[in-house]
Amino acid sequence: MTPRPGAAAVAGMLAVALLAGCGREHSAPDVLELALETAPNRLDPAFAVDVAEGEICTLVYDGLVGLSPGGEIIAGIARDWEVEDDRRYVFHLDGSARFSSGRPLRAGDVVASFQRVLDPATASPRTWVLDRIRGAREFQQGAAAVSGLAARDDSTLVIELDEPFAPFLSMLSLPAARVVDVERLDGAGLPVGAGPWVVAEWVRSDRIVLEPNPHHRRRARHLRAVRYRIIPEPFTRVAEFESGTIDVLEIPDAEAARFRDDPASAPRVLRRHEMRVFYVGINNRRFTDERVRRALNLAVNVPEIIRVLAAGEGVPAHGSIPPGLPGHRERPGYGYNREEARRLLAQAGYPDGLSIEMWQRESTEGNRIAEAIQGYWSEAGVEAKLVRREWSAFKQAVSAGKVDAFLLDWFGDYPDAENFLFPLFHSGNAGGGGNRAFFSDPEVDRRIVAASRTVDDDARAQAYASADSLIYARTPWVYLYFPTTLHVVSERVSGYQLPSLYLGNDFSTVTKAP
Amino acid sequence: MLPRMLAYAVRRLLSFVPLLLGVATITFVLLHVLPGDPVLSMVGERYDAETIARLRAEMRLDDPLYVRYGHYLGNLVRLDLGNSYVTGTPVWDSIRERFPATLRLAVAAMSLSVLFGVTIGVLAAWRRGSALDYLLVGGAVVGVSMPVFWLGVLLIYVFSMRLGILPASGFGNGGLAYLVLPAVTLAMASTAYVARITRSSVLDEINETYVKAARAKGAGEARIMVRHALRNALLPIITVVGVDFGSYLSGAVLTESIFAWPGLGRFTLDAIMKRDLPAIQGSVLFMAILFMIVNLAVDLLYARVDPRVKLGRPAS
Repeated sequence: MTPRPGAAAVAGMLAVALLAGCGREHSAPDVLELALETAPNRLDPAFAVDVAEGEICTLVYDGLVGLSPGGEIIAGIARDWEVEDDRRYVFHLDGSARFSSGRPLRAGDVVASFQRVLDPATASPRTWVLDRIRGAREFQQGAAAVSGLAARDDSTLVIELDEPFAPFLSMLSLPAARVVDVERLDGAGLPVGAGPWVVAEWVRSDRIVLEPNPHHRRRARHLRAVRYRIIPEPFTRVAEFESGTIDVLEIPDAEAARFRDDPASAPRVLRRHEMRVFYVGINNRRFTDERVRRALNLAVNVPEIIRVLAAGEGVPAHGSIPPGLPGHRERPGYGYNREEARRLLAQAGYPDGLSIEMWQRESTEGNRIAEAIQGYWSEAGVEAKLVRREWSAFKQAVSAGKVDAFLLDWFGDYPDAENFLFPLFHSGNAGGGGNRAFFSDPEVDRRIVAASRTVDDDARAQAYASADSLIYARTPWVYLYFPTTLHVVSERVSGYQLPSLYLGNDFSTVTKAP
Repeated sequence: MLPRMLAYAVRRLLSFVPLLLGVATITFVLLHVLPGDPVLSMVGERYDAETIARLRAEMRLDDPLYVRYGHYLGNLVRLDLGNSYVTGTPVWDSIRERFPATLRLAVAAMSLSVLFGVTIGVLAAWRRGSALDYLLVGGAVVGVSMPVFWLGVLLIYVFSMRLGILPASGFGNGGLAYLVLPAVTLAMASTAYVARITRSSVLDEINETYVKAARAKGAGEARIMVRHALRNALLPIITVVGVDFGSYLSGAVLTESIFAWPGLGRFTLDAIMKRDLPAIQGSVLFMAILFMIVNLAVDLLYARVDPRVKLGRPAS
């Protein structure tokens, strides 16, 4: 008489599921569907600090120069440029460049955009991108204009630096150096830009929809929109990809082998050497004896960490300049040798081993690596206590030099070795500037600065390589690895290029089959 | 009855003011003694001391604590929750954007758990000691102990990846299809809990003399269960449902994360991870208000369900 409740419950849920199934959306043929792990906080280029913000800003805002998917500097708003005296840049603007509102873009807009970033009233956290321009510091302290920044006429812009700085051109591709119409906001409350895409819809908690800027010469011809959905969980992103509702997936480590080794998906898997390095920074002020730092390296089996924790995707770091960047060199590593590590520790006055506190920020990836290192160290007599902190608390303590060691990674902002060596090892950047290991060596400082003044690209790469060798020989860190990420592209999508850096894509060549 | 309820509700609403002041103060103090620095969350990995100093000044973080507290309360009195440090937008706008999604999920999950929980509980009580009872009670134990994360992943795997009949995540076009899996996931634990509470309170009532009287008068078993036993067993059920509903309204962090559901829980979690003080303070305050309102509603419901409950008087 009475229906069985278990059956009723299952039947009820199934009925709802089936009914609901009718309402399911399929991904549209001319909309590229992508996923972001975290919701961007700001899409204004003066405030973009993380990778997702940077990627979207690059699509919406053009700069004087841009990056190709391969990471080379390409013309942006500037058609071409000359460099005079190694420090004065004369840019000739592309006369056809227009904002998405249709207004022509003039050299004065570039000046206004740069001053907007530098203006203390804007409170941009990215002023360092532009503060090498002559007069930038004075402007920040109240001068009326940046003296090294001038629109000679509507289509000619002159930028003069305090001193020669060869990576400057590369830095101009960063979001903070992108051009906005300082007078106008678009429908999403953002400054109007001149990039190939326009923000058509921004629901902060859920999605960002971009549509082609009709005035851009490299606008997408085959796509009606790019839609980014915010999906925090890796498993959910995989499920969405496999259900055909997102088109490009950065494969989580745990799934890498499945996609890479399955003949059905393997041809659609793209591999990228990240401009990123994982390392354990050792507080060089506390551990002044190089033998101790060397021993901490010798105790860790990095290839095994890559094999087990990163599905074999990564390159052991024997230096800090990632593969693919000029200045990267293959060099012999310290090796994995527990006995040698113990011997060095004994020589350095720790015959019974050593206790060390290693800090890390909250992250699943980091937790696993930290525990592996803790395990390897303990086999060599080093007792490590792991301290996990939220990002800002981590930065606060680590940048103040209050910890023994810390696990961290460094993400390149722009494709130049300077972006690794200068912040990470120049003594002037000790602490918050990036050199959290408090490494200090006058010869290294001198070489890094000399390299950044070397305008010839080959000579500069060589100079960075030699500085990197010198640093590696001094053992400031426990060098871990350069990660490689795998991405898989839906079979409906063609023409998708995986950019070598987050700044390097415009989706102009992408088509999507129905 | 009604005027007394109204007077009671007004008195309770007035009592919210000191409670909220307490919540605001405790949140404010706790956030300022925790380690971490909101400015450092804003600047990326590379920064210099000047930038930090400039941003701190801009955000008035260098003012003495009592000045900032006064400023914060002053804004609250004007119903201004301030602007997020991280996004620069008004906190109230963010809450308003996300609350409808949270409300939708909470109502759906609560409806499921009341519907299935009460039904299962009554059936188990009715057939107490039978195989059916053991099955249902066993099922409830499993339901209560099933981790939300695991259940969510399992449902996505089965219904989205294998069967392909439901979307895996997101709010989509607002369609019902997007609501099903998160609602079932969120409802599971409280369904099981409601079922257990229903079963035991109905069992308590079944042995009361009025039930025996009803049975002696020849009332049908179904009528006895629903009209007599269940009606009188409602108070503890309402309590459990009220508490669960209150917590669902403050956002369900795990469920929202697995299903990329754009609700308040993730917003608050993000704010905490980024030390976005105005956003944390605003959402905690908002949740506190919701909780108080749900509690008030539960108390009013008591009086409605059970005439013996006298609002606003000490129990005799």
